[in-house]
Amino acid sequence: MIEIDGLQKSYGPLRVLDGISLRVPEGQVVCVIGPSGSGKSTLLRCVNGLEPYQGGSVRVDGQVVNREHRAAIRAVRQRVCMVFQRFNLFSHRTALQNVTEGPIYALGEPRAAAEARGRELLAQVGLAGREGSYPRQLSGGQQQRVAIARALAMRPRAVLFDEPTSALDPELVGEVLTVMRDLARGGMTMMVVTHEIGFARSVGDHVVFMDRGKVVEEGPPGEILTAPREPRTQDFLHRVLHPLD
Amino acid sequence: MNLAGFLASARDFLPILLQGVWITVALTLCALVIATLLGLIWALMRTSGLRWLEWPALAIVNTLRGIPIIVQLFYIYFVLPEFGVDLSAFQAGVIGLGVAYSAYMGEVFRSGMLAVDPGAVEAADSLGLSRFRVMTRVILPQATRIVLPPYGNMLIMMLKDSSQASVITVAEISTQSRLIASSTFKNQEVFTLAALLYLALSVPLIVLVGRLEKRFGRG
Repeated sequence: MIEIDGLQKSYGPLRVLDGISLRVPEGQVVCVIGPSGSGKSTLLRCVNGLEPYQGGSVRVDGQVVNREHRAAIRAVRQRVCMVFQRFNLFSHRTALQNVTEGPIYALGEPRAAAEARGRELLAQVGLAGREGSYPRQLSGGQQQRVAIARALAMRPRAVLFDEPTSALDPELVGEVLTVMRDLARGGMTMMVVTHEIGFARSVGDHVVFMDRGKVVEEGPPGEILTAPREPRTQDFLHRVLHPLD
Repeated sequence: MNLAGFLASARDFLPILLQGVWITVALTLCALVIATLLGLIWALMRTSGLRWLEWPALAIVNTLRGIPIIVQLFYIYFVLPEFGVDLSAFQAGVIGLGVAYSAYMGEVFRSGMLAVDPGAVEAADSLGLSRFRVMTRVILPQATRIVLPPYGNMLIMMLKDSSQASVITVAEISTQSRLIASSTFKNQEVFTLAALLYLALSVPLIVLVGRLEKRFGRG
């Protein structure tokens, strides 16, 4: 579904992605963990063409993600949607309008059909009745659930999550993770950059630990999160799980 | 000044003053067009990211902001003819007011462009919207909402500052009222009428801007 091979990216002399190779098979949930600055968000943004890269390749459904080809990148984006850390909702539109924007203006769906489906999706993420609310009238958790509904409205083949709970108050994290878990159970292909080790353990099919632009270690969650082989992974997990030690 | 006397004066003077009202409105609207177009140009230059465009725009804007409108009007009306540019008082007033205000309009537009949420633009990109749709569905609506209230305030200030064109003999409300007052000595009646006419023009705009702020304030 998503195939990343030898991906290289630099900001000037700084190498942010240093030969990353990764597979996200259809219907699987791949969680990417690692310290901040390790390049995991950048990696995600390359998959959706929001960032250019200098070497290697990213392919989605066999199609190369290349920012040079505007039409091709749009086709990829319509199939692989993104959920952002800071929600990035359209502040001048209601929850329902946020969800129908893509189907109507990118996919050309009729308004009535898009709105009917938009209502269903908002209900699915637990926001029935909030269709007419503007983003600033919603809590962070509600906004992020609107953003998830907005991504799902594109009928994507995969959804990319970029630290979707990092900007939330702690008591609102659960409602977003629950929606994501249900989505995973429904068979959605997901690539999730996260600091939620518990989520990675219980929902992830595969966990990738990244540091300094490289994949340090990857494997099933039980293996990577419980008995990591690499000292850097052990050190990172220890600091995340026992911050006071 | 009793009410009957005031109404009698109003009946006598209003026809002349109303001619002034039309000149004031025409002057303000023509100058608004110039200020808007030039202001957009300054804003685009200043946000272009190109130093050879940003610097001249900054220099122009600061020069215009640093010179009183009245001096700019004098310059256009009295100095430009020496260089062979002969303008009517009305034309000079439109250009002077429009150019002077373009500096402030430019800042209004620039702040609007800078205030568009880059995250929303990125989200629109990530949904596969075309560049045109990103512009028309996200950037322009957001910028318009941010810009409209201060733009309305600029219009109100221009309406009042159009009275400065009286120094170069444009026959707008203040010029007309000064002429009537100096020939009839009914200062109180005439200038009260002038003030009421300005209020009749500006208060609806003030109310409108208030509504826009309330409506678009909700984000």
